[in-house]
Amino acid sequence: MERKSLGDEIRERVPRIVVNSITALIFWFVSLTAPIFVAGITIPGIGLEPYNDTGWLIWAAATLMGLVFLVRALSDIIVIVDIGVEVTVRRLGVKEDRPLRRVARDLVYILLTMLLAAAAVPFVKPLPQFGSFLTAAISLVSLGIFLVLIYDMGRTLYQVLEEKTKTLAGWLAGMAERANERKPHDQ
Amino acid sequence: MTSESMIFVIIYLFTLLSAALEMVPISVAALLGAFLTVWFGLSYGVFTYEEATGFIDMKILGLLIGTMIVFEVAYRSGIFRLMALYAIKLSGGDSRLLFIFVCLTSAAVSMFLSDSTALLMIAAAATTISKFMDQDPAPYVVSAAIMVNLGGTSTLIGSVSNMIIGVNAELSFTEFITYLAPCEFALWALTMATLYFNYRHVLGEKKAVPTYSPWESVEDKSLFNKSALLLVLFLGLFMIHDKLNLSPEAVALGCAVLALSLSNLDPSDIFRSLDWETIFFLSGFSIIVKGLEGTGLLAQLSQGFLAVSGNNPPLATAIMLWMSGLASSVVSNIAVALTFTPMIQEIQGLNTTALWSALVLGTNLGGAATPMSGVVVVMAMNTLKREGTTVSFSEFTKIGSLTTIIQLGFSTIYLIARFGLVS
Repeated sequence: MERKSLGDEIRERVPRIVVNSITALIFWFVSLTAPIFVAGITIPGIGLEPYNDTGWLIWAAATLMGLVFLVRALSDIIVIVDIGVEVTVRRLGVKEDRPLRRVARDLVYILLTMLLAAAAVPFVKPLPQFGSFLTAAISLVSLGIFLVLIYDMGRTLYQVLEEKTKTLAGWLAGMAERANERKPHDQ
Repeated sequence: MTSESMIFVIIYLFTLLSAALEMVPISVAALLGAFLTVWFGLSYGVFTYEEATGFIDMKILGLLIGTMIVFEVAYRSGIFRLMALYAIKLSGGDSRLLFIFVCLTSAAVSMFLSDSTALLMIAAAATTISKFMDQDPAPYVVSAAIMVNLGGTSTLIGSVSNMIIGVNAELSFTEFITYLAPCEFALWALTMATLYFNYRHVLGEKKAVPTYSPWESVEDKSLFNKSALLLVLFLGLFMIHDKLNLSPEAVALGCAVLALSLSNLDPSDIFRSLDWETIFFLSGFSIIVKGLEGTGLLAQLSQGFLAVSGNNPPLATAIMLWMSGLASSVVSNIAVALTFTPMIQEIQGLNTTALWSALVLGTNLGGAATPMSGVVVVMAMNTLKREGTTVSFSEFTKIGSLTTIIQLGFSTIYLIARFGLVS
């Protein structure tokens, strides 16, 4: 399957994320407010309490719908996060395409970030007025970089595992097909 | 582990990984690591500035630089080219004999020359002759790389890791040879046999070589004679340096001064040819290891090593050999030697000579297991690429790891038998 360009992905997915997130929010709002107006009204013919309460049914249906739209939004958000991480790690200098070398490079950048943060903090901390603010900023930026790089490591290892699993599945399928071909046909 | 120790471990790992991944040249990685070690060491009060200035072992640097100068002058005199040309001539165009000569010359030359210089020389000769013989240069160049890595295992000046271990263990030149030469020569035979069996089907038929006199390659006879005499003096002094109460670095530096004075070569040209990458890597990494040592981590590691080996001499020796061998197949053997040396210095109650010998063998033998194990293999791969032949990663690893495992296996038996570790 052909991979879409970064611009195409953003053009296609961002509106979907916005629409799905807003719809999920609307359903969540409905799940909170609607039961108040129909409280105490039971649905005739359903004898299972409290599931015959209209308020409960509206809450359950709206929550379910909200979750469906949230999952739809999340599936697009994951792709956008993937693209964002790819762009960020490339900007940081991790341009390696071979998976294990890429993971090792991510690790080197994590170590370097830790070292730079540890080296900077003792100098920044004693600064009057800005010291604690700058220390917090350095810690947060380092944490952000860690998360991005660790996510990239996980994603890369996942891709390797997926590829290996597919190869294994293909090999097993091939074996099964060959075994099937060797079987004498009952006729 | 305290946060201070953690920082030094991070610096160590950062340096090794960034050098192994070639993110920066190895010398830059080591100098960056050294800078961070000094920065954090002084900030956390692990050591003082005065202590930090003594972290670089001048004895090892003196031995390394002195040996480099002596052999650079000898290399320029054409002595090693003459050896290689004689080997080719003696083979008489028999590809099998030529293969054995290439292997033997590679190992013999690398006993004295730095591995990279030895490989450059042998690879140039091997590719020329394989072109003439109309053969694939890969078996010759790959075998040369493996044999160059093996050569010099038993001499104090055979490799940088040997110099580090020799100086720290206070092993003399002759002790080195006494403990390790039998093993090295047996390994030459074993490795050559393995390489020959691996490549015997691709070695071509006999073909006549053009008649030439190897002596014609010597351009300056006077320089050749002086270099030959100097090499004899250099090796002679190394044989008896402990009896003369001379340290190895004094012999190396003294002979280097003599070589510079007698050769009439431009000293600045000689200095430019030295392997500064290795000199700076060694200096930088020494500082990183000293930082790690200052936190007491290496002492803890050596206690852990003793606990794992259960104070059992054969097991401890085997663990040291295989651990250093496997580590050297992944990272620089200089780094491995510098890391393991303080660990062995901490050990008491075991046969430390056997452990030092295991470390020498491990750090040398691990350098040609994969195309990424050492600079010699990388250079061999690049030479072949320039010749239009590609040896894949798995192709090299197949033969490289096979020879490494055979070498480490034999060395384990040798060390146990040589030092009488099983009573």
